[in-house]
Amino acid sequence: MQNIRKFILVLVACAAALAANAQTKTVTGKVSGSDGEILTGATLVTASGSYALTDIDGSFSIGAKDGEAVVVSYLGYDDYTFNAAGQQNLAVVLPLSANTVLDEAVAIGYGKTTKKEVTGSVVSLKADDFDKGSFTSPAGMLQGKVAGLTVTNPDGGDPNASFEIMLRGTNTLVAGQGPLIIIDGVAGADMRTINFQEVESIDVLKDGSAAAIYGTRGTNGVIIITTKRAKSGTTSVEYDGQVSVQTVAARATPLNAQQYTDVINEFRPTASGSLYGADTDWFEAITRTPVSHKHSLAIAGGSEKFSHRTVLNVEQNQGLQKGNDSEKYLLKTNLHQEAVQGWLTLDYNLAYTKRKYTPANYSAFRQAFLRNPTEPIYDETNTDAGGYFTIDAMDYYNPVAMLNEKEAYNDVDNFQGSIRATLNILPIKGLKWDNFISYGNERYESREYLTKYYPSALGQKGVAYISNSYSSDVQYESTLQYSNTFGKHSVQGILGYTFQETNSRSASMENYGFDFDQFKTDNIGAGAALQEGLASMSSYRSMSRYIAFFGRVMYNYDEKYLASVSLRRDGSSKFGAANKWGWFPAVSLGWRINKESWFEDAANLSDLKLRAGFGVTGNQDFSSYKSLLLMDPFSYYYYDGKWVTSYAPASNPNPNLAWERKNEFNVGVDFAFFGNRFGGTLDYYYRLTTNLLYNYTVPVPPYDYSKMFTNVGSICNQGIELTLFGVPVQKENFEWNTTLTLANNTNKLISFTNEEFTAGEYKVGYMSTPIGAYSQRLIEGQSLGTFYAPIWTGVNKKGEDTLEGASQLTGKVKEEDWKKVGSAYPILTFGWSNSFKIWKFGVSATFRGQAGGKIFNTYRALYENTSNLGQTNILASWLNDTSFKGKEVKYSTKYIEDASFLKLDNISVSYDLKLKNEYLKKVRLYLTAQNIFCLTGYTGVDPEVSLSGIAPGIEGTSYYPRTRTFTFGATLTF
Amino acid sequence: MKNIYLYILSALAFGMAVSCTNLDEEVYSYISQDNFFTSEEQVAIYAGRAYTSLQNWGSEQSWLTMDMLLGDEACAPINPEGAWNDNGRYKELQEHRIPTASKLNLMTWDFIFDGIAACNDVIYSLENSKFEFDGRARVLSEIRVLRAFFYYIAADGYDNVPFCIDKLDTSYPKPKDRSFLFGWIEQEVLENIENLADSRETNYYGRMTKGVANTLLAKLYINAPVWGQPAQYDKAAAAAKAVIESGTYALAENYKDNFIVHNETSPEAIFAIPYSTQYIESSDNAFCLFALTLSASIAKKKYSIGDGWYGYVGQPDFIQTYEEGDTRLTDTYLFGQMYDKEGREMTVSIKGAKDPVPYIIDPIFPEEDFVNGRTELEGAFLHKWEYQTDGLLTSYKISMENDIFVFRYADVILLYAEALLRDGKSLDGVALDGLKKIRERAGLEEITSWDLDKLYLERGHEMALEGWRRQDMIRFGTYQNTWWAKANRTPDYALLLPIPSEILNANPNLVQNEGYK
Repeated sequence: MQNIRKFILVLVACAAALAANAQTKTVTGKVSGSDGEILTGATLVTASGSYALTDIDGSFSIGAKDGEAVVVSYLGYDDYTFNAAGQQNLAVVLPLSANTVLDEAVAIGYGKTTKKEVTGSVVSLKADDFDKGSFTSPAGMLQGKVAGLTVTNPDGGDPNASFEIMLRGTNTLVAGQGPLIIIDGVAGADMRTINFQEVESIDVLKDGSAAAIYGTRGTNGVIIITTKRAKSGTTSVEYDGQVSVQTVAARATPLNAQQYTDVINEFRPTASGSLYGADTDWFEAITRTPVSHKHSLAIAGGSEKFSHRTVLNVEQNQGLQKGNDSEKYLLKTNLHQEAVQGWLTLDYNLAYTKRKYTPANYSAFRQAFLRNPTEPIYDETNTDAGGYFTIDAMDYYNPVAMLNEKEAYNDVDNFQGSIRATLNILPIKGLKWDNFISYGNERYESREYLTKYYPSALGQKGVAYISNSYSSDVQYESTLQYSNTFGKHSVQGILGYTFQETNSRSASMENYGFDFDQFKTDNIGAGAALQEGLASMSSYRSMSRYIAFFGRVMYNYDEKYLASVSLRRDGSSKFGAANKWGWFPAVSLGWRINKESWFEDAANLSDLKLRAGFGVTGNQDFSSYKSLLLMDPFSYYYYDGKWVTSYAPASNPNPNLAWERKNEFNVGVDFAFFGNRFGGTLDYYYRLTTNLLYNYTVPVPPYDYSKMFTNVGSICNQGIELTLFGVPVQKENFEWNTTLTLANNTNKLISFTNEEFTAGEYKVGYMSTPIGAYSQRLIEGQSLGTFYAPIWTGVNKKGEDTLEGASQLTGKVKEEDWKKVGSAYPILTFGWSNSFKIWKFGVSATFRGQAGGKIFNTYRALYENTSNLGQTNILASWLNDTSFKGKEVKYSTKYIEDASFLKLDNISVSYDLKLKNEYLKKVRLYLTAQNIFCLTGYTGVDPEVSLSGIAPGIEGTSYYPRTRTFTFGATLTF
Repeated sequence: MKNIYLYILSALAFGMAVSCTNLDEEVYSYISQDNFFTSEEQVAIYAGRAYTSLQNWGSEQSWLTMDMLLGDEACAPINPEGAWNDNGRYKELQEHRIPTASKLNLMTWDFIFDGIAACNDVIYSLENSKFEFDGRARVLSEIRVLRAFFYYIAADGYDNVPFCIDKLDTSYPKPKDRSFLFGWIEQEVLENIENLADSRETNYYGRMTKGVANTLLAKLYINAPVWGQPAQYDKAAAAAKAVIESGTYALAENYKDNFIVHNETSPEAIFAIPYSTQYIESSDNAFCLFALTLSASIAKKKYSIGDGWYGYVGQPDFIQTYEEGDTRLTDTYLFGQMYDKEGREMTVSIKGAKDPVPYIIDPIFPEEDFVNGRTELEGAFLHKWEYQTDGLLTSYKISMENDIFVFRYADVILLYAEALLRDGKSLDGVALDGLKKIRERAGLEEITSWDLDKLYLERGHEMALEGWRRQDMIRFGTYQNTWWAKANRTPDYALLLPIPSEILNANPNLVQNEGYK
C-alpha cells in the first residue's frame, strides 16, 4: 500500500510541478534512517508538487518555496515533514517505522492487501527471510520457513532432482498433491524456470478461504512467487557470483574389499571363489568432488514512465556422479510502462531459460553399491565387453562401464512471455480493468546412446534413443478491480474471468544394431533393428482447458472489523460431460482486538487479531480424457495368416467423473508485542476432502480393467500451526532475529466406499522382492501411511529372524494377523531460523526437524543380510551385529524405524562493505554451508523421505548420496 | 476521444473473453468411440482383442507357469545366486500352500477374467453393431466359445467364480459354482459349434474351430466327476473321437516339431496361441520361458540371448520317472554337459573354486537345496520349446517366436484312450494306433496292455510343461502326494486355488473357498 501511496504522490507531484512558480529556492541535504542506514531512492514531495529522489549516498536537491512543507518518505520508515527555507546540507533522519511488518504487502491472489488486513491464513516471505546459499530451485529456500509446509528432496544431491512440496498433510490420493505455483501471475508455472536469487517475495496461501479464489486448483494451497520488478531511478547494476563444492553427507555404504574378504572367509567360506583379489572402491570410481558456479547479472533502472529490470543468469552445476552435469542459462526482462496520461499501465515479462543436463545414472550408483569390491574394474583380455571386467550374472553390471559407455543429454528450452495491461478508469477513483495474457512453452529433448560395450546392452551393437516433447500454455485473465475508502469504511472488490489452455505433444524413437558407435544418436536410421522391424517409435498429444468466473469483496471498518467473501465458478475439460462446472465459495472474517478503544491500555500489545475462515477448493490435477471411452491399439493378433493390430478401450471410462471437493475451516490469531518486536501466529484448521478421486478397484468383468478413476470416499486432515518470531537483541552493532515454526497434522481416511462401490480395504506400499510384502493399508478410520507388519522378536540360534505369533511350519505370520505399527506421518515438524547482524557481518542459521513418524528402512531390509553375499555386496552396517544370518528376508518391524530428526540446514556468514567508489558502491561477501548435520536415531541414509502419495515413509533406493554444500559468493553493486 | 476508443476496445475484449466457455476435450492419440465402429472390417477386427488376451497364457506369471510349479514336473528352488526366494513365493507353490495374497495366483485370475471381460465387450459390440456382414455369426460364435474356454479354466481352478456375461450390468457379479458352469459351458459350446470353421485352415490358425470346441468338450466331460458331476466318459470319448475323425489333424513326425521356433506348421496344433518376437512387445503378453529357466551364461553363450533369470528347473523325482531311452526326456529338460553355440564344451565358475569347472549339470539333486540354494551344477533347465539363436531376444525383448498349443492332437489321443478305459471299455484300434505312434516317435516300444497307471505316466511324459498337469494329477488322484521338496500331503481344500484377496476385496458378493478363510 505504501508503494501505491507513494506512486500516487509522485503522479500528483508530476502534474503539479508544471504549475510551480519561479520563487523556488533549492534545498539540499542527505536522508538517512534512524538506524544509520543511508537511504537511496527516498522520495521528497513538496505541497506545490515538485519532487525528487535521493541518490546513492542519500543526498538530494529539490526546489521549494520558503515555508512550504516537504514530505520525505521511504518504505519501512515513518514519513518526515520539514518546512523549506532554502537549507543546504540538511540532515534528514527518518524514524524506523514501528508498523512496517503489519503494513507489508501480502499477495492474496488477484490482488494484494496488507498483513494487518489479511483474513485468511497467509504467510508472506521476503528476501530477508530466505536461507542463503546455493539452490537449484527456489523451493529449496522454503524449507522450514512456513509452518505446515514441508519441502523435501527425496533424491539427494542430484542437481536435476525436483523438490516435493506438501502443505497441511495429504488431502488427495492420486490427483496432484503439490500446491499451485504462480510466478508473476502465471498459474501452474515451473519453479525451475526462474533463478532463486530473482525471488522478491513468496506468499503461501494456506487455508481454504485464502486459496478458494483459485478454485479447483487451490486444494493443496497456493504459492505465489513474485520476482524482482522493474524500478525507476538511476541504473543499478548488480552482479552476484558464487562457487560451491559438495561433499558426501550420507550414503548407503557397502563393505570395502578388506571387510568383504574377511566376511567371506569367516561366514561364507564356500563363496571364497568370488574373491578376485583386487581392491576397488566402486563408489569412488564413479564419483568426484563436484564444483559448481552460478553467475547473475541484474540491470535495472529507468524513468517513472518507463523502467526495466533485466537479468542474465548462468549456472554450471556438477553432480557427485561423474558426468552428471547441468547447465542453465536464463535471460529475463521486466518492463514497466505508463501511457495515456495515467490511464494505462503496462507490464511486460519476457523470460527464456535453457537447461542442458546429463541425467544421473541411478542404476550405476546401485551397481556400485552391489558390486564385489574384490573385482577389478578392467580386464584387458575381455575384449567382447570392451576391456571391462565382467561377470555373467543377472542384473549385475560394471558401473564404470555404465558411465563410460553411455552418452546422455537432455535439453530443455522454456519461453515465457506475458503482458499485463491495466486500464485505470480515472474518473472513478479506485477502479481499474486489468488484462493479463501469458504464453509459455517448453521444448524438451532427450538423447541417449549406449555403445556396443554398455553392460546391459551387450550384443545389441549400440542402442540409440531420442525423445522430444513440446508443451504450451496460454492464459488469459481479465479482472475488474475496485478499491476505495469512505471514511472508516474500506472496500476492495474484484470481478474476473480466466481462461487457460494447455497443449502437449511428444514423440520418441529407439533403434539399435549400429556398425559404428560414432553415430551416437545423430544417425538413428543407421541401426539394423529398423530393417528387422525391431526399432520402435511412438507419439502422443493431449490438451486440456480450464475456464473460471470469480468475484471477491473485501471490506473493513476502521481496520478493525475485516471481512472477505469470494465465489468462483470453475470449469475443467477433464470431467464428465455433466460435471464440468463447479462452485467454490469462501468467506473469512477478522477482528483486530487491539484497535478497540477498551483495549488500548495494554500498551505492550501492538497487534492482536482473530481470524476465521471457510473455503471450498477442488482438484483437477490429473491427466486428460478419463471420462471418455477411447480406443487404443492393444497389441497384435494373428488373423488370417498375418499379424494385425487389435484395439481395446484405453481405460474404463467414467462419464460421471466429478470434482474432488475440499472444505476447510481455519481459525487463527496473530499477535505481537513491544512494537512488533515479538509476536506470532497460531492457526487451527480442519480440512475435509470429499468425492475423493482414486483408481478404485472394480470387478472384471463387468468392467474391462480392474481400476477405474472415480470419486469415492473422503479424507480429513486437521492440525495446529504455530509461528513465533522475535528480535531478542537489538543493539547498534548486534541484532538477533529469530523465527520458530511448529506444525502438527493428523490425517484420517474417513471413508473409502459409497453406495456403488462397497469394497473398502486396500493394501499399498508394495515392497518388491526379496521383501515381497504390502507394507501399508488403507483402512477407514485410520491415517494414511499406516504400517502393518509382523512384530520382530529377535534372532534365533540358527541366525533367523523370529516373529511374534509365527507358524511353526513356515516361520511366518499370516497377513491377517500383522500388527498396526504406526503412521509414517510425523507428530510435529519444526523449523528454527536465526539471523544475526554483528557490525558489518550477517550470520544466519536454520534448523529443521520432525518428531515422530515411522520409516521403512529399505536399504537395511535389502542389504543388511548375507543371503546374497558372494554374488553381491552388503551393507557395512551388518558388521555391527552379525547374529542375523538368515537366508530369507522376512518383512517385519525389524526394518520399521522412528524417523525423528534434527537437521542444521544452513549456516551463512556475510560481510557488507560500502565503498566510496564512484563505480563500485557496495560489496557483499558470503560463505554458506548447507545440510551440515542430521541428528537422528534412524539408521538409513536420510530420515527425511517422501511423505506424499498413498504410501509415504518408505526410503526410496535411489542410491544417490545426500550431499553437503559449501558456497562462497560475492555480490557487487555498481 | 481516446477514452471512447478505450471503452469500445474494452467492451469488445471483455465480450470476447467471456464468450469462451467451451470445455470439450479434443482427442488426438486415441480413436473416439464414435469414429471407431464405422466399417464392417473394423467391427470384425475388434474381435481380435479377445484373442489378444489369450497371449497372457504363457507369460512370466501366468496360468502356464503356475501350472508348472503346482504340478510335479518343474520347480523354482533358490538359485546359485541366492535369488528366487521372493519371500517364499515359490516354496508356497511347491508345497501347495498358496496364500490368498499370492501374486502369481492373482495374475492367473486376472488372465482369465480379463479374457472374459474382453469377450463380453466384443460380443456386446458385435451384437450392437449396425453392420450386417458375412461371417458375423461365426465371429460371434468363436468369441462365445472362447469365453466358455475361459470359464472352463476358471471353474477348474477356483470353482465358485463371479459370473458375468453382460457388459452393461455393472452391479457386483454373483458367484456360480462348477455345477452351474458345467451345464452353461456345455450349452455354450453345443449352441455354437455348428457355426465354427470346420478345420484348421491357415486363416483359422489361432482361432476357435470345431476341433477346439470338441477338445474343450472332451476335457470338460472327462473331468465331470472332479467337478462333482456324474461321470460322462462316453461323451468325452465321443468328443475326442470327433476330433480324431475330422481328419484335420495328425501326429507330427517328430515330437520336437511341436516346439520348434516356427512350429505353426505342425499338424498337431488344434488350439494354438501364436506368439511373435517382433509383434508382441509387452512383457505381460510374452511367452518367455527361456528367461525363467536359463542362466545368464547359458543364455548368452548357447543361445545369444541377452539375459536369463535362472529360476525354473526340472523336478528331480519327475525326471526319474522317464523310461530308459525316452527321447522326450532330453527334449524337455537340458542337463549333462553344456555346450556353447559353436558346440564347444562349456565351463562355469562356481562358488568355492578358484578356476572354472566343466559345466556338467546333474538333474538329480538334494531336496534341501530347494531352500538352501542349488549350485551351478544342479538342476535341469527347461527347454521343451526350442530357444531362438537369432539374437533377437534380449534382457528386455523377451517374447519368444514359438507358438503354444493349448490343445494338441496327442493330448486328444491320450484323452480318448483314457475315456475308454475309465468307461470300462477296451482300447479300440484308433486309440491303440495313436498311442503306438506317440511312443514310437519317443523311441519307445509299443504297449499293448494299457491301464490307467501306464496311461498316467505316458500322459505325463508326453504333455510335460504344457499347462494341464495340475488338472491331470487331480483327476488321477496324485496331486495330493508328497514328492521332491514337498514333504506334506496336499490337504483336500487345496485342490482348489484361493480367490485372490484383491479380488475378494473388490467384490462383496464373493466368498473365499473353504480352507483358505
